[in-house]
Formats: sequence, structure tokens, C-alpha cells
Amino acid sequence: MRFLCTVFVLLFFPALASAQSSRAGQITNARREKAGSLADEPVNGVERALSYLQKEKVLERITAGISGFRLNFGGLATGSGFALGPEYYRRDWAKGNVEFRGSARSSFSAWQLYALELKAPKLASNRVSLGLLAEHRIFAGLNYYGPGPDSSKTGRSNFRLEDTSYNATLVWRPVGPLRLEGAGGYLEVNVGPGADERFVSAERVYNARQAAGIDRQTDFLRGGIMAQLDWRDNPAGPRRGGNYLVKLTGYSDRRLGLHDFRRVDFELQQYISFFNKRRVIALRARNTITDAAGGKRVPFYLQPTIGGSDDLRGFRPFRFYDDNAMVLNAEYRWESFTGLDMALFVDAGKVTSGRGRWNLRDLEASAGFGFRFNVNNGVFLRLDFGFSHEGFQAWVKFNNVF
Amino acid sequence: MTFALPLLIAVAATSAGAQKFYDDDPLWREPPPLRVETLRSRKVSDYYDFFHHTLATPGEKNTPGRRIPARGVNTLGEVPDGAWYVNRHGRNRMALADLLRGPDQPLPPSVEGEWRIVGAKTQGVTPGFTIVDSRGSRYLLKFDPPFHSEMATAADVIGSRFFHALGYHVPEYYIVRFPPDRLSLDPKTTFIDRFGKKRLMTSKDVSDVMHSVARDESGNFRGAVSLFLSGRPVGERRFYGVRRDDPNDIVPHEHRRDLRGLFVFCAWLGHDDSRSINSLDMLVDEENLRYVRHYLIDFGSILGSASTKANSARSGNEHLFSWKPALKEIFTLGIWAPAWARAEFPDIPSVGRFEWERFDPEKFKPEYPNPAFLNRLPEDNFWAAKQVMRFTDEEIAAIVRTGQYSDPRAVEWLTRCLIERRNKIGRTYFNQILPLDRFEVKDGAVVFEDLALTHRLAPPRQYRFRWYGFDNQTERKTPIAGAAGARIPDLVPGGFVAAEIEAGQNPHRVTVYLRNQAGVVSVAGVERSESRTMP
Repeated sequence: MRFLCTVFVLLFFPALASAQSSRAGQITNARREKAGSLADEPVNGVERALSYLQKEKVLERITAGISGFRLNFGGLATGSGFALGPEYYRRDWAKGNVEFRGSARSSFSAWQLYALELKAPKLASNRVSLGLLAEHRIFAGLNYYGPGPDSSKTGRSNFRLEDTSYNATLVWRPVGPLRLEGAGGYLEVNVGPGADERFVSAERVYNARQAAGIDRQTDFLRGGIMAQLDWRDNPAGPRRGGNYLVKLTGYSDRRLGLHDFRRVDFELQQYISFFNKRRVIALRARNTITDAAGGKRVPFYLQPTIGGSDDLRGFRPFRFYDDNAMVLNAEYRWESFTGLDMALFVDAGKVTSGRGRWNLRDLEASAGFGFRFNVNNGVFLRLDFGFSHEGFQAWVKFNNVF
Repeated sequence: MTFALPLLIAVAATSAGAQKFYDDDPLWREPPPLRVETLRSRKVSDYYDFFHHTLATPGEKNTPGRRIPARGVNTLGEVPDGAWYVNRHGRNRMALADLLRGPDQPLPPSVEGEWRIVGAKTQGVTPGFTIVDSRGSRYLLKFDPPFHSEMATAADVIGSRFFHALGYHVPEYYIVRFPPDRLSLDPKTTFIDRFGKKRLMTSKDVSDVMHSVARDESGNFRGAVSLFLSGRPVGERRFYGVRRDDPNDIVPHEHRRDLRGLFVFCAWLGHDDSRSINSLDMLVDEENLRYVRHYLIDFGSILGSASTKANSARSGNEHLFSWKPALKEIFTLGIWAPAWARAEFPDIPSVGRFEWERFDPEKFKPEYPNPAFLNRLPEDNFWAAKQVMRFTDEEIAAIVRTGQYSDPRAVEWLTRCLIERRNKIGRTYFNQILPLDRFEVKDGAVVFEDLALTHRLAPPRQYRFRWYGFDNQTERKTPIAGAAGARIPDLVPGGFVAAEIEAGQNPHRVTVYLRNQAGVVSVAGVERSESRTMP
């Protein structure tokens, strides 16, 4: 053994000594030492899971579904509660030029939505799109506080709205930000007793004089045109530009002949940014005017409403109903870090029954603050807290307000 | 275990006698790597990387109370040539033609025949394809976003030239212009679509991508192609620790000077996307050696570009998330606005957002904290800054022109920005230490270049020398009476002397070590101090 050790030292000492006496040798020795204890790269469970999610596109697969089937969330009216349901969605028909969507959703309080949609979104070099949509909605307990701006918070009732609509829409984008739309369809409506037992059912406290259409059901033929000039820099989370929209819709009562009316919607949005778009003043004015000539009346369930997460945020959803409505919103938004914008907002608005009160007096107002979480500059989650003389409202929404 | 030169010196001291310098110092080229037999590919999760670096700081930290000098350097403080880094423009000025050629062989895709699409680009955010030209060479083809024509493709090409000249291994990038019919789809091409489904690629998939990218007035496409790197990809580098399965990776990455100094280069070029996923380790076979070579890749997000859009003004100035500025903005209701938010950017679509007036290299921030960047010391900054300062105005302008911008304002603005940002880097980092460099022995005296003078950042100044005899074994310094000025005192063969040098009012000091090897006196090493402690 001693002999072997002596031979080893005699053979390798020159090499070892040489290695130790040069910088290059030092490095080589360190490498050799490491080579004797190589190991696989450690990957902890969290990283492994995140890598798997990313590599296998798990979220995308869940979103995309299996063979066209997937889960769909939300999409019902405010007050429905959490809703989900299956959807069958194909985007590969006609070599990808036709999309089909069939879905059913229900909330835990049994509000429901069923939809079938066929869409050709990329006709004429992406300038034209054509869509067909059939929907059946069951909103079991929509809020109704009675007509007009003076309706009382304590007058809260609820009603069931069940409607079926068949719509065709043709969209033309002739140039740049201009969008023109023509739409027509048929609407069958049933209203009935509200299912929310905490509140009285609307037909028990409001009669047909106060709430036109509450007593008799009818169907409508409707058609309209819309022009939109949208030059927002990023519609999912705008910081600069504007969006101006005017829409004219005519409703023809096909069964009773009592509720023919025209409706005009105006909406102006303007975004003024400063500090390199890290601060934004966002302004919106939205007006809806209806006109039912010849003694006919707009049914209460088709009247414009204000109150809720998208307009008067310090008020409950659908707080005010009447023939005309206006809403003014101003928001100051600032970026606190990549992924979160904050906002201070002021909302004002009112509903009116006649043109005589079409002014900026006696507006209902609310103010508050919000958090806007975004990915790729698109808002995916909004937490808004609104305050008004009627109290405090907190909103969790998966969309941008405007 | 730390495999770094300081440790190696300590090992030598116990096993073969203590000494500060070896005969082969300063080492300008690493010894040949050990052969790597097998290496598993690994994929860094960029989600994990973000959270890990945002919520914690991995790696060994350099703190005010625990100063860890950079490793993987020679006794001059330079990074030897090797698998990570190759000294180029910083050591020996490259010819302009070489700077402009960058890493290119050149082997742009052949314009004879079609470019066959054989895959989709799966990394990053820019749309693109893997193509094979008529010669069979494989490339990655990327495009510009529709409202920022030329922005990302130019950034890729310019970035590859700069980072190559700065010493890093980078892929070859070329700008190509081609008609739509140049691309053909290989019928066997499969890809994972955005819904996570693996399927055959269709002509509609191709046309969907091509509809989403910029094209010129004649309907041609412009793209940036990068030649596939030779070897086998084995994953990305991390900016901390060592790769446990690579025997040649012995210096913790957070202590590598070439990674610490990368901060300065990224600040200069606006590369806030300088994270792990924009690097690639390749297992290469060369000259009977198989080893891992470390590349920087994907420069489409530099110079004001964010690849698919213009960079945000925030980019490069704040991390994606950090507590302090976030809370500041939240609780001041946005009334407090950081300086970068007031920066002004010209409206040049092909540039995005890039500027120099608000630029402060020390305030540059990548998307999330980087352990190597955080460990920077003044010597690391100096090492990088002197290389940035090496680029002349003309060289910068010429490299910017390789982006082939059609808008002359883009060339003019980018060139000006890079010149001004370069000058700020010099002013910032040449003040952190005494910027003396390129020490030589000439006519019995030690001579050097004062980079502050070279770049007109300081007026001419007097230098004070204090000479010492130096014992290479014990590292003891003994003052040499009567020695003064730059003239080297008598030095016997095998002996060492050291000169401590100060200049003007500069509060820092440089120590240069000289030795006599077989009658030839040469520079053995240089040390730069952050403070003056001369007696």
C-alpha cells in the first residue's frame, strides 16, 4: 500500500504542483473538484408548478376548453350573484372565418342566460362583420324603485324579467377608428313577480300607470343604427384618445301597440393623460333619450336606468328608472405600479320623464375611489368603492368602467 | 461552495505556499473547460423568476458591512476570455467594420427560394416563426408591431452589435425585407396555439400573424432574423448561484464581474428586460471540447422598444413592483410624480420611448431586482463604464445605422441619446474610483491612462506615487525610501514592488503591482480602492 502511494505521488506530484502554482491550474482544479460532485439543478415545487402551468398553457387550455367545451363565468345582470355554466365555442369553422358559441349560465339564485351566436368577424378584409344572436334571459329579481328621480330608496321592489331576443348585426369599419353598425331583431318579453323574497314584488306596489308594461306582456320588433368613432389608444385600458358613440333604436310593439318608442343613446368618452400617461383624467357623458309619441309609453323594463357599478357607484344597481337618463363621470387615475392603477371618481346623473328637466340641476351624485388591476394594460379586475347620500357601495367587477 | 479566485489564492497558500501573484498572472484567457458529458436542459419559469426576485433576493448579498469583491476576474480586474465573456472592443479597439458586423459570420438567410416555416416562435411576446432557408439554415424570424415599424427589429440588430462588442456571446441578427410569398408553410409544422392545443399550423395561422405585423409601403415585410445557435440549448442562466450540473461554472453568478457590470451596459442601452429568460446556455462541441457557452439573446426590448409596443416611461426607472414607490404613489394619490414621469420623448414611432435628459445610470432598474446587479461595487461599475466610454461618437452612430431606419430622425435621436447616456455613465462611475487604467512599464517607469482626462471629465492633474517593496508570499508592503514619481525603483529578478497612486483631489487610490520576471519588469496586478487610506 505504501509502495502504491509512493508511486502515485511520484507520478502525479509534478502535475499537482504545476496546477497549484498557476492561476490556470487553480481554476482547473476547482473545476475538477466540482466535477466530482455534480448534481441536477434543484427546482422547487412552486417553480415546477409555475413552469408546468406556463409550458402546458394550462390557463389557456381551461379558457379554451376541451373540444370546444369550457366553463363560462359571469355575464348576467348586476345582482345575479356568481354565475357560471358550460359553453361550446368553435372558432375554426369555415377555415376559421366563422365562430359559433352556444352557452348556458345560471347563478346560484337561479338567474339564467342561454345564448346561441354565429359570427363571421373577418369579412371583406376584416372590415365587415356579421353576427346572429339568439338569447333567452331569466333575471329572477331585478331591482325596481319606482319611476323618476324622486323614487325612494325604501321603495325597493323586485321583478322577474324573462325575455327572448333574436338579433342580427352588421358592422362596417370603413376607415380608421370609424365604426358603423346596423342591427335588427325581435324581442319577446315577460315580466312577473320577483323572486327575491327580501323585497316586495314590483307588481304589488307599482301599477301600470307608474310602471308601464308591468301588467301585460308584449313583443317588439326593433332595429337601429350606430356610429362610433373610437380613437382610444387601448380600449381595454385607455389612457389617451376618445370614444364617441351615437345610437338610434326604434321599438315597435307588435302585440299590444302600446309601447312603440324611439331611443337615442349618446356617449362621449375623453381621456386626457399627463406624466407620460401615468396619470389620466377620464371623462364620460352618457345620455339616453326616449320618445314615445302618440300617447304611447316606454315599458319600465326598457327604460334607461342609472345606479350601480358602471355609472352612479354610490347607489344600488338600477336605482333610478325613467324615460331619459344622463350620467356624467370624471375619474382621476394614477398608476401606483405596473399592474395597478388607482382612481378617484365623481359620478353625477339623473333620470327624467320629460325634456323640461333635461338640465344639470338636481343631479344625484356619488364619489369614491377604486383599484384597477391590469395585465398588458387591460383592466381585468376593478374594485370600486362609492359613497352617496344613500350610503356606501363596494363593487368587484371584471371589466373596466369606461 | 465558492469557487472563486480569492478562494483559490487561499487554497494555494495552504497547499503550495502563500502568494498573491502567480507566474501566469494576469490571466487573460481561462484554461480550457472540462468536458461536459451530459447536461439536462432546464427551463427557468419567468413567473417564478419574477416572484422570487421581487419578494426575496436570492444569492449571496453584498452589504455595506460585508463587501464581496467581484470574482472571475484576473489580477488586473479584467474578465478573462471564456465561456461567458470575450474581451473585444474594451481591450483592443475593434475596426469599424468588425463592430458593424457584430457576431455575424455573415450568414443571412438565402434569398434564393422560399423560407419554409417549420415552427412558431414560442418564447417572448413578439410574433414570429422558425424558418429554414434554401440552404437548410435555421433562423428565428421576428417582426415589428404595426404602429412601430422598424422599432423592435432595429433594436435586435443594434443590440446584438453592442453586446457583442462589449464582450458577450450573442446570436447573429440580420434585418430582412421580403415579399409575402417568400414564406411557405411546411405541411408538417405543428405548434401549440394560444389555447394550449398542439396542432398542425395552417395557412390561416400564418396569415393571422402576418396581418398583425408591420409592412412597408410596397407591401413587403421587414423582419429580424437570428441564426439558430449551434449546439444544444440547455436552458437559461440565473443571476445567482452556480449551475450545479456544469463543472466549469464555479463562480457564483451574483459575483461575476461580467454579470455585475452588465447592469451598466443595460442601463446605457435601456435593456430593462435583462432577465434570465433573455439568456440561453448552449452545450457546444468545439475543438474536441464539449462545454456550456452562455449567451445573451433577444434585444427587441431595448432602446425604447418593448417589442410589441413602445416602452413605458416607467420601464428602466422602476421595477414592475417594489413596495416603496408603490406605497408612495398610493398614499400621495399620485400627486407625487417621479422624475421619470416628466421625461419628454420625441414622437418617433420607430424608436419608442428612449431619452437621455432624465437618465441617471445609478437609478436604472430592470424589470425586477437582479442579484448580480445589486451586488455591484465601484470596481464593477468602472470595469463596465470604461468599456461604454470606449465607443466613439462615430462608432455609436455607425452601429445605430445598422438598424436600417427609414426615418433619419430615429438615427439622429438614438445616436444622441446613446452619446449623452454614455457621457453620464462616464461622469457617474469614473467618480466612484480613481479611473487609472492600461498600466504599462515603459522606459523604466510605470505609465497609465487617466480615463477621466481621456474623456475630458477632469482637468489635468498631478499624480503622487508611494513605492513599496512587496513580498508576494506574505503580501507585506515595505516603504522604499527615496523612491518617488513614476520611475520604478530597482527590482531584482523574481521581486515585486507596489506603487500607490493618488491624483489631485480625487479621494480614491490605485495600487499597481510590478514584478521582474527573468529580467523583464511587467504589471502583475492592479487594485482600486474606494477610499484613500495612505499614511
